[in-house]
Amino acid sequence: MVIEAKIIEGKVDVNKIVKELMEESSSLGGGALVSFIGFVKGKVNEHIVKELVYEAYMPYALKKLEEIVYEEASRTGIISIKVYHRIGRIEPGEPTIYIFVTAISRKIAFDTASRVLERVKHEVPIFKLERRDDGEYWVVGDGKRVKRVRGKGKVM
Amino acid sequence: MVKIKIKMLSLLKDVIGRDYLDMEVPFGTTLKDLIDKLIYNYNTLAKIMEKIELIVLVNGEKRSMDYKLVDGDEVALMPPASGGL
Repeated sequence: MVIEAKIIEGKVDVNKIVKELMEESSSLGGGALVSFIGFVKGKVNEHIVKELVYEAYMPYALKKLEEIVYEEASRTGIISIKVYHRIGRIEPGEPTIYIFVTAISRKIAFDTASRVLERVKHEVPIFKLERRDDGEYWVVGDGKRVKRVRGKGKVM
Repeated sequence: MVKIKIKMLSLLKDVIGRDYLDMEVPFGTTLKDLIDKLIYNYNTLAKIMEKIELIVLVNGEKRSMDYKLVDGDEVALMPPASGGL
């Protein structure tokens, strides 16, 4: 079983990871690989997005990410899970999160990749600031945007 | 007195104008006492709490509001996570 959970600033080599996972998983009975890549939107609410700034509450964000990956990898039929979440400044069209799951069946691989994504999104203390043409917005929870006003005590 | 560190994340950073706040509180101070004190000192915090569910962690773990703070605790205040896509 191959398990990996990382919070990184740079990108990963998707082709290399896919190739390695397929090779490693096949001898363990794997026959399905699902990959998910989230990337920065260039337009939100008809406004142009310049960049997203991701911050993680370390070391707890990594601890939670590892916990999710280990829990999900222990399910029947899972061969491997790799999750990489990027932090820092990321421009539109650039990847923010990578999820790779291999399993003995496509259903298990799809379901697990989807569940891992939702869990990461809701459970890992990672936050983002959206910089766009009409100002800066803190994105909280499931997409709620709070406009940022600079200066002490000037939120909202 | 008990020395603690308060970590603000996401929009909470703008409440105090920085990431961290070092504080000394009396022995026996609970998490609820601390939040009440922060609301008293920073009125925008109360406004945020009206609109957003605030998550409070002590050393990375959820604790009850009755938890009594000890020396070296790091209390983190944050909104619900917005990671992923």
